[in-house]
Amino acid sequence: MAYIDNVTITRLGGFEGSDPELVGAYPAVIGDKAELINKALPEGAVPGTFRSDKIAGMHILSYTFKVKAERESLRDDLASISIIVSDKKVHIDQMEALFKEIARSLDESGDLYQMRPTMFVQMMERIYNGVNKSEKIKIDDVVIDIPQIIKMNKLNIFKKDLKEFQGAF
Amino acid sequence: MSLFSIFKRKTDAKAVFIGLDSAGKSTIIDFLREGRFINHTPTMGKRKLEIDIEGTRISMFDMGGQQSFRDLWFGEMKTAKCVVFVIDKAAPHRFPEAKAEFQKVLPAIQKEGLKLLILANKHDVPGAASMREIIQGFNLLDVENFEILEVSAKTGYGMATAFSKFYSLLTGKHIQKLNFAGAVSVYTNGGVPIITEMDQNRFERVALEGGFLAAITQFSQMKLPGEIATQFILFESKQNGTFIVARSAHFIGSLLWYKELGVTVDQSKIALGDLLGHLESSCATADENTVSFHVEHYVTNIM
Ligand SMILES: Nc1nc2c(ncn2[C@@H]2O[C@H](COP(=O)(O)OP(=O)(O)O)[C@@H](O)[C@H]2O)c(=O)[nH]1
Ligand SMILES: [Mg+2]
Repeated sequence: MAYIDNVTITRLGGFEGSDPELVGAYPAVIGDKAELINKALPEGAVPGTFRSDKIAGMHILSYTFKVKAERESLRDDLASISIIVSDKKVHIDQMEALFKEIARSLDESGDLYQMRPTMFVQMMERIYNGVNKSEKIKIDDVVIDIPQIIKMNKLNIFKKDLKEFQGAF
Repeated sequence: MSLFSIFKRKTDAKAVFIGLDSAGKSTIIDFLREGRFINHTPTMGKRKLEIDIEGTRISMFDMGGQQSFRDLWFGEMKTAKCVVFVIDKAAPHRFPEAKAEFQKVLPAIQKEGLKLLILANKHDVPGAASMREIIQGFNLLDVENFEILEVSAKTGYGMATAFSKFYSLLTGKHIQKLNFAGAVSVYTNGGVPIITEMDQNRFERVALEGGFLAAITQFSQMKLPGEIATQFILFESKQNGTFIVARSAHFIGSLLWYKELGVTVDQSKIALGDLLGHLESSCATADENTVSFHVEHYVTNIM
């Protein structure tokens, strides 16, 4: 059973001739590509901010961050990492709290800022698996201990199944 | 507080900053607000920034310059009073593209009767296009009612003039760019002189009295309480006026003030503090030539 359906990374570019683009999605693109870019990296997005929106009836949570310029003469880029959740049994605010912890840890470690295209796929895959299997995420030197975060913050990601309640009466 | 906040008049108006991606729109706006260069990421669509001047609000809409955002310009222009079109004068290979965009917005500007200010940015870059090349490149001789200025949002060159012009276009009120100094000198934090700029009409040279240099030396040996704090001392000169001396983490600056400038000592202090703030954020550890270059450009805002 999956908590999250997808991890997506988009970026603005900011060099001559660039436009907002989809860097990658794991395991697959969800919804219309243009809409996905639009929702993941919305108008007015600035580094260090979170957004939540809906896409194709699902929740999309996004965090916008800075990426180091590839060359000295270029400016830093603006990018965003998003997760998409369709499961109605997921408490979206609880998932948001978890996602914020993950994004913050990665940003504070400098991993998001230093990110190179070769690391994108790895990062999306590890986050996808880490969250869905509730296990530690290891990216470069950063370890994000998902079970620990859930425990420390008393997160209840899943809504209690109605049947469980019924059984109790 | 920045020296640009000295221009205090009542107004209530909206300005839209447009131009190709990477022309320097966001950097210019940040410079106008903060008095120094700030490095940042490209703009996602648009950014709205406000400055409150005497309780009223100037809103500056910083529009993304990339292809997919250019349609957004027109929507914001409808409710604006002034359009600032920013050109990267160090990128002449993009003049044709910039000119095409300029010609698309021009009819809307004229139809709505908007004020037009063109800023030819990146004046600091060696070999950037000349004003003549820009006027030709953009067919500006055929355009009515606009103002054009050369600026650098990196070194601060011409920014105070640009702000006064921007302000008068936006509000219809004329403001004079202020003179904060008769002379400005910058030293290393060890007291070694780097550069002096002075009002050529008034001075051939600023006579330096023995006590003044002693004060600089003394300042260079003083311990600063914090890393960032800028500290000031005043030194009364018999021949020249009042020297305001300031020390930041990497520099000592001195500014010659006298009554005829028409500003207060406190205003000149702010101006000197802004200069040091700019140097700290742009060239704290750079070589002397770079620092001199920044000082030459930045003092255009002070004198
Ligand atoms: N050398 C130089 N670089 C500048 C100047 N103004 C902006 N830049 C740089 O040009 C790039 C684009 O600036 P930005 O303000 O983001 O452009 P925008 O897309 O028009 O908002 C950034 O790397 C800035 O640091 C300037 O006057 N001189
Ligand atoms: Mg911008």
